[in-house]
Amino acid sequence: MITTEAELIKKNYLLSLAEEMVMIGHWQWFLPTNEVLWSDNLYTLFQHKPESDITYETYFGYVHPEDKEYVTECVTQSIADKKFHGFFHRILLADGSVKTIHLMGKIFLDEDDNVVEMIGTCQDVTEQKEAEMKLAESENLYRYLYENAHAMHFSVRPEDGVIIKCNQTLCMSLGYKAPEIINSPMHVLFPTTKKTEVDLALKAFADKGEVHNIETSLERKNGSLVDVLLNASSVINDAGEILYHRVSCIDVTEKLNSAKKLKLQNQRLSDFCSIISHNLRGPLSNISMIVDYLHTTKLNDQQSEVIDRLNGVVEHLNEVFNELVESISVRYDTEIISEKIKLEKELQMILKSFENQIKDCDASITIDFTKVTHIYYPRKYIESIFSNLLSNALKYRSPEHPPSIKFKSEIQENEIVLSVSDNGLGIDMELHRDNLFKIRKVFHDHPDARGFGLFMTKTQVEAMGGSIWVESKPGVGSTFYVSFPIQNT
Amino acid sequence: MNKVHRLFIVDDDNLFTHITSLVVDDSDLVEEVKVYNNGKEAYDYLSTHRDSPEKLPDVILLDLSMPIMDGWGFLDKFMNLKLPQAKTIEIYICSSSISPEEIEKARSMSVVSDYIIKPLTRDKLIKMIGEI
Repeated sequence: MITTEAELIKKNYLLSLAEEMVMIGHWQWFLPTNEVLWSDNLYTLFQHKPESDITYETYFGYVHPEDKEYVTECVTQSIADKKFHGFFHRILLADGSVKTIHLMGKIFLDEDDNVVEMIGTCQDVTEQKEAEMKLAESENLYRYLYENAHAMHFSVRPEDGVIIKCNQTLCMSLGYKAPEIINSPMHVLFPTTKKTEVDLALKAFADKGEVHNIETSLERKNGSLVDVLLNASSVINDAGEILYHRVSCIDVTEKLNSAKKLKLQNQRLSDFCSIISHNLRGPLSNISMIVDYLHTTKLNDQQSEVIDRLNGVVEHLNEVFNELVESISVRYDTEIISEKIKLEKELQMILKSFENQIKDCDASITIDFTKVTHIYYPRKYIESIFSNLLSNALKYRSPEHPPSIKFKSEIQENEIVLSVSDNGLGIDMELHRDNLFKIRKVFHDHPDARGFGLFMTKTQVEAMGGSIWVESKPGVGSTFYVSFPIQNT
Repeated sequence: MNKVHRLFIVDDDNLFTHITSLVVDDSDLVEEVKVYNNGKEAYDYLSTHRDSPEKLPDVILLDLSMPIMDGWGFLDKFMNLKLPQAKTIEIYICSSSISPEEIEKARSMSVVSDYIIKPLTRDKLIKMIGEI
């Protein structure tokens, strides 16, 4: 007898230990009396001090408020069915923590088929549930990213080249529904007209096990083609067996189109440039040679005057042509070289070349390049920016006082901004805002105004990714701003 | 100032060749001026008379854009032309093109003395002959 008792104690101990290890407890519920018995570990799970006098309500008190209705439903259903349906729910413990538990049980009936007793287990599955949710979450995320990726994706079975999976992007780009593609040989996606090209890519893939950025085309359901960059690799398991081939394609149709457009545009500019160079400048230079020649012949005063005027006209036209060609060159002179430029030094050089003009009108120049001392930019452009803005400020000075011109560099919202302010005539912004930087627009009745400088400056600034703008008031002065893109140096 | 014996104008623009001839004649710096309307005509002459230095020009004013054989084609052929050691022919490109690429390309060629942008004024012409 003693042995049996000892064995029983031992078994109970083992059960208790096992329950503790898997965070499970067991219970008994005698329905007619609403008496309930919990195992030791169940008390631990519920953080409830062991006591003898507990009921169903003791347990129900711990059910999470949001799950109470559900639990009642499950229990009622089990009693009605005379069969315990296992279920999960949350409990809210005294210390405020929330756990998820899994209830399982068995129902006992009396001779009249009434439910008299339930026994069962209650396991804390919080961690499993959380892990499951995280997994589901990352699976959802992965699925979302896969389906909505910018690239078209599909997977191919290595044995027979059949498509086993594809994403929405592929279906939408090619005009298929997923079931039409899945289980089809992957050749349906490639145009038959480019068979050699495709075979070549496949061979490269077979040789190397992966291919990168192959330029090829896919065929839509309607037969039209999509230009793509294709990447493919094999997915291999730990044993080194190929599970499937993964293929992704990026639609580059638009990129190719805009590259073509750009090329065409550059071609037109270059054609225009050569028309000006040859077909317009040629005849013009003949006229100026005739004028030049006439100077050497004997002319009366009247003729001489006419020839002089003609000379002026021809020179002016020549200048316009040269400027036009220059501005066009800027636009497709994309390889122009940037270098580190010390602003102060560069400006001093420009000031030197304007020395006489500055002296003549008694201009005062202030320079503040303390905020930004150097910039990385094409020297030619910086020179042109400085000299155009300076010459404008000098040219359009007020007759009432000597010009005061201020150069300044600063940082504004991640951009370097260069400003040139003057106290000159100013520009009526209401009137001229739209035309300010256009070619051959002149805003003052000034004999030297040619309307080319600002256009040229704007062209150069924009070619380098910056912008130019102006604030001005007639009679007060103007400030021109030039912005430069963010620089690494 | 040196006198130039022979000057060739290779240009398809008749007005240009006419006025340039007039200016050159007036300047009294050149003994003989000849005009060719494209690169091929000029090359054929040089090629035929390459062994007679007295018949070869001292200076060629060469246009770039011409029919049949343009200035570039002429320069190509000219570089392979075997001339008598003692004879030097100065080639001045005289074009209305102000394309920086063309100017750069022409000036980088060893057989080209300089690139003159049209119009070829009297002053430019006299300065050019003075440099020879």
